[in-house]
Amino acid sequence: MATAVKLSGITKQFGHLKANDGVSLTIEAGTIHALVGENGAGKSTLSNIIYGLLHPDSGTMEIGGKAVNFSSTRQAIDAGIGMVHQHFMLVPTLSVTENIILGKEESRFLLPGKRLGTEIGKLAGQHGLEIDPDALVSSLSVGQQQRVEILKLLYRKSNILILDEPTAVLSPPETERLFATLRSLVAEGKTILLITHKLDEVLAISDAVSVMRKGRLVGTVQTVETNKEELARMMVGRDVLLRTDNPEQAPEATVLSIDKLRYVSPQGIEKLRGLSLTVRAGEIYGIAGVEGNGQSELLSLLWGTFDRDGRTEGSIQINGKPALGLSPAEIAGLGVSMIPEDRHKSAIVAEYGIAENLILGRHREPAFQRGIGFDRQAIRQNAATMTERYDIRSSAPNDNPPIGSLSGGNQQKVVVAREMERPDLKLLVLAQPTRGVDIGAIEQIHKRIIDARQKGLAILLISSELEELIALSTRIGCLYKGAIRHEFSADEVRRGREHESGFEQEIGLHIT
Amino acid sequence: MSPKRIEPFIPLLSLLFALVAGSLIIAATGSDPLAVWQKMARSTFSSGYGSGQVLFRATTLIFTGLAVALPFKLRLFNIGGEGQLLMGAFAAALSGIALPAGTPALIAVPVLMLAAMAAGGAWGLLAGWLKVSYGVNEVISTIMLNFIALGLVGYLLTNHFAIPSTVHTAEIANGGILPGFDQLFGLNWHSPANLSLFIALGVTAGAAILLYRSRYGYAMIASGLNPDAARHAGIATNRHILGAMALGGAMAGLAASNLVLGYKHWYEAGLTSGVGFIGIAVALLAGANPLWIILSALLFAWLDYGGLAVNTMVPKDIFMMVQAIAILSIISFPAIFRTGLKKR
Repeated sequence: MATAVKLSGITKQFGHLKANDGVSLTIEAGTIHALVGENGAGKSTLSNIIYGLLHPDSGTMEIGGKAVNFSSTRQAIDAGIGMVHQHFMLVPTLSVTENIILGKEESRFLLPGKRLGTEIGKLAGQHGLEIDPDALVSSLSVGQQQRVEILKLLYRKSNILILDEPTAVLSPPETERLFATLRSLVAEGKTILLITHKLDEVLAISDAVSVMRKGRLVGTVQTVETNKEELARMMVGRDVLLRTDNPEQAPEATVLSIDKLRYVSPQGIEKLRGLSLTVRAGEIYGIAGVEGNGQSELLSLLWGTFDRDGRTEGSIQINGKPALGLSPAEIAGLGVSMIPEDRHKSAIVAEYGIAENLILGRHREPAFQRGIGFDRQAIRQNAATMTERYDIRSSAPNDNPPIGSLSGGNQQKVVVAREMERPDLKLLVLAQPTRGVDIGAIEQIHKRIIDARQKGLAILLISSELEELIALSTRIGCLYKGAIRHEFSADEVRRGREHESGFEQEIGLHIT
Repeated sequence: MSPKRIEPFIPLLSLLFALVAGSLIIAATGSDPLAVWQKMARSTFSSGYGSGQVLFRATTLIFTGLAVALPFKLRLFNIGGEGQLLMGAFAAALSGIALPAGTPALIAVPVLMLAAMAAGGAWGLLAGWLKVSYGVNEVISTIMLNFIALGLVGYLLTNHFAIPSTVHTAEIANGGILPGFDQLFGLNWHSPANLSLFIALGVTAGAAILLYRSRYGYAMIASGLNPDAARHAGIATNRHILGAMALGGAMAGLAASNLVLGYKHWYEAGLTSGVGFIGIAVALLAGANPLWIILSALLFAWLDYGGLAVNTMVPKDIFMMVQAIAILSIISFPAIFRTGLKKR
């Protein structure tokens, strides 16, 4: 088989950090090659080097057998390399066609004619990427936007496609669809480099896997010859418990009860349609569902951050007290903590230090106060305790570095620590608690969640990872179009845990 | 040197760059830059009157700089310092006139200052309220409020409060007058510098404590850096917008203590002469950090008065260009260093 990409001894250093340290890697043409590793392992640096965005300090690269030395992405594109970034590079106010030809226009002045649109429509049809060429990109869903990104590469006749975490934003059916497209592209002889940290997907689609850890390539294995445990061990460098112990626990009194909750957004769209559920002390209620079925709205109602121009009906009771319409501070005062879906947007202030982020939202607690300001000693002490207890790792643990300088997993640990350690906590609302977090850290966070339940907390867990829901939940509610469509009892979930893949499919039926 | 190491020196580098560029411009007009800078230094540093002038101007600029810097922490751009100062100065003068003649300074000074803060603060709050309630961009509303303040104060002065055939009001009560440096320190400078400088320094220290040491500042800066996260943390971000705009307005209003209480002792047309706008430049050069504002204000005051002093040699406008070049370079230098290092 021919070689598509051959890297030898690639090294790239940023300051003191060796992001890539002597990486040698061969990618066979016409295969899907997965590149896995924890956050900060050097996957993105390596792919940016292949794509010509970064220049290696040392090492050589061959594309299709020819030595290359890219000084810009333009050269990489001309050599047939294309990349779909994790955050899409599209112009929202332009149409699909216009976005695809951007930078590759046939004429400098004339806008594309109808012919181009038909051509792109045909190209899309061939690869199962159905899309309206005249639609504005701003009107497309995330999955559709990704199709535009892939079409862009096909239009440029790229032979080597680099996809950076392509499934992070997709629902399970969309992921299936993307995989079908990738398989058809490989069948045509194209080569795909898939960067991801989801091991199930790697096993499902790739031909070969390369694992990176701390800038070095740990090894490359054929997918058929490996398994999840081995890959996890290669990634983390030690044995990883992929399934957290979930001991029995008898739930007690009801803490959260949501009754026939409705929410109509200011635009007049009914986002929640009579959602009802209860969560008792000492249980984890999991909510399964494809994103966009009302999870965000449920969270915003629970935490009081919803748009007050919208209309609400029904009730939310926390420990018997009505909580619908209260402010976040008042809800927190009832003994509630929340970990929001989007950590960067809603849970941290990137420029603040770890210590300041550990009190964000808890800065009114008397223990942290002195005079009109804060008790710096208490805040430092709190940071030291939490850093130790939650294993928060940073480059400069004693200097209280800005949280933005931490890896995603460690940022999440800060948020988890802050919210779980709130005094007099009764109810914990967790949305995607392990999104973008390394497997090593996921293991720890899962243990914390189970521990919190054992201590008698009521926990509402919203996750798009079915595996996570099945591993942790006492009961599971299937959210579909703003209501709980089906609820699996504690017995059913316990039995489901015994035959996981079958249970995942069963849940899948209720959420699509 | 890595970009991180260079960062603290960027204000200094940009200042140096601006001075070099200014020298080139001076040379281009046919004058000797060295002689001009020397004359400027002589007429400011080694002259009592000149030093006083610089300190007097710096005092006003500290206040108007703070007026921009505090809302800036919430990513609000307060262009309304001029209007807020107008309202404050006029309110201070009117209250000073209304006070009975024998009011002791201990009562009169605080009353006048509070009046100035209240009027300036209300003018800033108005812009904040428009933003919170109707989503009006504060840049637009503060600019418009400048015009309204100018018109309103002008009308009231001309038609109601001006002493006939003059453009100023009556004098404020004696108790409201802040002593000048000559009186305070037994100097013979004959400059307008007065006690307000120390009020300005005190207020700046207060602003720094509020921002960096208080819970209010912690919540306010969090709201500016990440409004969504602040809301999730139970911080009322809208209330902080109102608070910051009112505080900024009050700071601008307080500049009245320098202009009215310390210098003119009345309100007159043209009293503020654009110092509200120079405050924007002062705050930008200082990166909106209250403590740097003191140095930034001193620099702008020096260029301002020094430019006047060498007016016979070169046009004053050149020093306005130096001020502008300093700001442009402080904004663009970090980016230039970053890209420059990446290319290497």
